[in-house]
Amino acid sequence: MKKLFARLLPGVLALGLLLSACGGGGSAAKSYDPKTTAQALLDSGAFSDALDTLDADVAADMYGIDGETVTDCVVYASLSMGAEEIAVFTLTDEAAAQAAKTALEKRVDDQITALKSYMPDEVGKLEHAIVEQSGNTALLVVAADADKAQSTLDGLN
Amino acid sequence: MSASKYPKRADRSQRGPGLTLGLLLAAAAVCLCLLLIPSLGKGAPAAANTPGPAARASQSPQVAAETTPAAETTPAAVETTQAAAETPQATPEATPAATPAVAAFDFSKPVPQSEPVEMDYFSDALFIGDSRTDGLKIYSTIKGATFYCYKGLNIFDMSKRKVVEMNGTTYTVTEALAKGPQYKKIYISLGINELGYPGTDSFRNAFKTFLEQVKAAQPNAVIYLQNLVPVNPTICAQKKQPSYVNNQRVADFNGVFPQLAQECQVALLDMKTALSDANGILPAEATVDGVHYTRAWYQKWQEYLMCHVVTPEAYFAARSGT
Repeated sequence: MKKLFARLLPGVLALGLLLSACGGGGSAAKSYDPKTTAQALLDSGAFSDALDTLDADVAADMYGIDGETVTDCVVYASLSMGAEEIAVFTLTDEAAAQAAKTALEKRVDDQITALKSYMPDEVGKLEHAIVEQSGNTALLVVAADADKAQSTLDGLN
Repeated sequence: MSASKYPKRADRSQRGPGLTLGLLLAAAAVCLCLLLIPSLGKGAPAAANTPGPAARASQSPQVAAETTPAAETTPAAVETTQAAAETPQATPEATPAATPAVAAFDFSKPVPQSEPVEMDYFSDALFIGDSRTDGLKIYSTIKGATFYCYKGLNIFDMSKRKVVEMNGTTYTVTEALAKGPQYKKIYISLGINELGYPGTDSFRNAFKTFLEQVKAAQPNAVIYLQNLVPVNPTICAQKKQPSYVNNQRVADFNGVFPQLAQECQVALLDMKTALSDANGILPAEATVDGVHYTRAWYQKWQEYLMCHVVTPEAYFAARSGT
């Protein structure tokens, strides 16, 4: 019995290490750095509107994200009050990132409601909004060219 | 007889030192009184001039609206009355000091420039408005204020459109004003989304109704009515804004605001002059779509608000004076 255990142990340990490496590596690869991600999106040409940055506390309040859970963020919103937006958040942990993602999804719904009579042309952009959560990061991208924005994000990963 | 006199003399001589001492004491008391009376006379106004509880109390709109009864109940006013009772000379000076005259605000004119306020001024302020106010919320540096603003909001929506979220429930603006917190300052900026409505009568009537609702729901608030900032016609054309979004319509609507301010007794803020250029239009550098502002212009708006303030005393004195 001892002999069998001794033979199996290295294999079990190796499998464990392999599984943990896969999980950790996947999560790290999908994490979005707010500054780098926002700049890459701005440079991609996916936006047609003039955007400007929001302060972190204003952004957290606007999205309904608990400011205490935000460790870093870069947010750009439309100066013409249209739909285009970039919001990349780093949060304290995955649970906070999941909560942030839910808040970002609500933002998309709220914007559709607000803009459907005010700026109906903007609603199409919201229907192609990108909302993601990866590890302890969450992001929202509402672009004029959603495909270009998505390929920019894929390129970062 | 004489014998009978001696004892009297003897009595006098025996009482002499006591009587003299008494007279001296009485003289000293008179001198002391003469010295004290002038200082008692000065005591009352000095107390009234101190920025104590009375001054602080009069900063409250409720108190300011009822100046005389409030002054009678404030501790400083009581002190003044006591001092006046001790020294009749103090009475005529003490009474006006207890109820200082407040220069009432003139609702027929825009709010004049004042000393700039600190950021905490906005902690009990509410902003009601459309997407321009939404921009003020996110691009200015105003902290602590509450915003009942929404893209596309107009004056006809105030009791119809549920746009204010409070504790998981959505309310119309008038419902939120009645059910939500009480504010000390309320800034209203509406009109750009109404430019397409014919004439100005419906706008004026709806605005008047709304202002009366705000006053009823928030009786302690100083209400600021902001007139309309013009648009940039060139950029509006480039961005294909609707044809009714033009400065002739803005001017028509701006003719309504002074009437509303005077009739409803609210403070008019001349944002039109503050945020337009020498040609009377929104400058090109201030906008990306002809209507909404850049960050710098939202901050200019904020700066204007911070140095065009009406004190509650002046505001409510003007209201109670009519």
